[in-house]
Amino acid sequence: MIGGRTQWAALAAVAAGLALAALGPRVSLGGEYLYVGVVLTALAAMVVGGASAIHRRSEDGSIWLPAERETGIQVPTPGADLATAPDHRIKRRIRRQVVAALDCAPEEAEARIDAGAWTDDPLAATYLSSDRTVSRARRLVAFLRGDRIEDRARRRAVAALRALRGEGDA
Amino acid sequence: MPDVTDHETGHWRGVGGAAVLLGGAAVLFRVPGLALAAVVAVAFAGYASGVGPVEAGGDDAGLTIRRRLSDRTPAPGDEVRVTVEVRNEGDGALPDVRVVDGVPADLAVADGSPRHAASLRPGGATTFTYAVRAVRGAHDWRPAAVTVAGPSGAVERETTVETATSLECALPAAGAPAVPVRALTARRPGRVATDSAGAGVEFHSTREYQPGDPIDRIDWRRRAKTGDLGTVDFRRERAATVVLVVDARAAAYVAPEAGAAHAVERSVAAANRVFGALLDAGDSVGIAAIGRAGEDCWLAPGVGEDHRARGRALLRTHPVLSPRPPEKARYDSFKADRAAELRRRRIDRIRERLPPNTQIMFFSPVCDDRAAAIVRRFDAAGAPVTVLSPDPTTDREPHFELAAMERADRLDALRREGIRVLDWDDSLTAALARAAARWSA
Repeated sequence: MIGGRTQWAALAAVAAGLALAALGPRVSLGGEYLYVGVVLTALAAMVVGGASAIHRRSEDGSIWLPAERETGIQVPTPGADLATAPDHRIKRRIRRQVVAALDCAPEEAEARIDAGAWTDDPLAATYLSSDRTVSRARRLVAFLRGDRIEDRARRRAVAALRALRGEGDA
Repeated sequence: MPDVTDHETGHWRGVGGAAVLLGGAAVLFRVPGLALAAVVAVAFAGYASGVGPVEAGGDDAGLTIRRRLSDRTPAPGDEVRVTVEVRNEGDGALPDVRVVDGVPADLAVADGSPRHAASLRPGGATTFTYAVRAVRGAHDWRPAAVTVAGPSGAVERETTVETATSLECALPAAGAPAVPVRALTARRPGRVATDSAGAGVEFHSTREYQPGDPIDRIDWRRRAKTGDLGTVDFRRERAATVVLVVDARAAAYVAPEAGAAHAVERSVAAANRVFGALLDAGDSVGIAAIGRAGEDCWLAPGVGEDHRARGRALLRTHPVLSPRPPEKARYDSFKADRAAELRRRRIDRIRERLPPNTQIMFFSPVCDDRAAAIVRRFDAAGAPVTVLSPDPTTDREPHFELAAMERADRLDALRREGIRVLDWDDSLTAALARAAARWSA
């Protein structure tokens, strides 16, 4: 850390250098050596000065930041735990809901989900199916859009589920 | 004595660095102009290092603060406008004053900002306003954090300025319009029409006159027609005994969005209204809560104004019903079997205290399977349960939507098992009216 004291020492060295340079022709304190000394002092002063001028940018800015916004009591929203859950857990829960929503025996419902026959939406069908995977082309399109295919597929699967339950307009 | 901290901002360090740089270059390249420029920078750096902190705040009475609240006793959920006046009582000007007001930790800022910056001459004042959303309980403002700096800004002084301000947010006294209760009654006259005949309002049957029957129940029409004396029986009306059980487990502290009232807060507000309405109707009402460890939350069923006051005080201040969620779920540190056993025992402790023929009104968002398990355990013990469920779900994101569907399914399953469920989103009054119509049909 370069503090104010170093800066003042450098400034004093510059002042001494200036004085010597001004008196140089009149006093003889060592000729060539004096000149080298002055140059080195000036160089050192420039390095210290330059470094200290840049240094303030790396100062810890947190002391000027006010405390966080007053948000009162923070509680989660139902389902918030799923936001960070692994994809297979979310998939399992959506699947369970689809099985319950399909008006047939659980085994038959599972088979329909695996076959992708529970919805008209191909992406939603592929997402829940354990037999199918999303095509590379579709993944590439999602990537180019700056979207994660899992997020997109999950949104579509939930929309399809809502439609299946007769709640949504999907 | 408030803490006072001074710190150098380092705002002028760049100028000092520039002075040294220019001076060095002037010597090296022998350019007098650079040396002159360095002199100017040295002058600035010298000025900045020479100034001290500005005296303000704390005991030297430089700054004072005054707060005005639009309402000191709001109802939960109300917005309260806070007007803060910051005054410079000192002799010197304060060119840079920054204030962060000490909003109580439980209150959310709903509008505006509790941060303000101003320049104050001696005797000058500045005012700013913001709004907080009231939460049940008593709330004290903390000291305002103040930062002052002189014109150079080289040194800042941080301190606090205190003024006592408090807000008491109580539950309103108003009851709900009418709360449908189940046909399970105690042996006291009341408002639940039973299938047994006796005194009441609604016609039930006629029978032979027996000596001692009240004169106003003699069937005079029959006497005129046949000459025999008969007595009219009405449907006997009796009072219900109800215990309101509030779900205040960690899982019940959920809200559709940041800043919105959470489900426990809504449940307590609803329980308060139902408590008042049932007492008004002559029912005997008690209160219990399931939640964090510590104090027992139980008010045995009762009637009368003293009981009403006790119940309202319990709902307002009991630690189990605190607006702040518990640090962690109560039985998380136990093994699964042991935790399940403890959970069952917790419900059984309430069940054992219920007087005979008591019905339960369970206030819960039912956002987890354990809430449904609690309902079933009460129901299995023969205490008819009505679930009053504030809806804390949202469909902003697919995972929130999934949780909303799971909750809807949970409530549907309870309905199919013959349990009354009242699911309300915003207006409890409207939901109660709808439920009363549906359940009496």
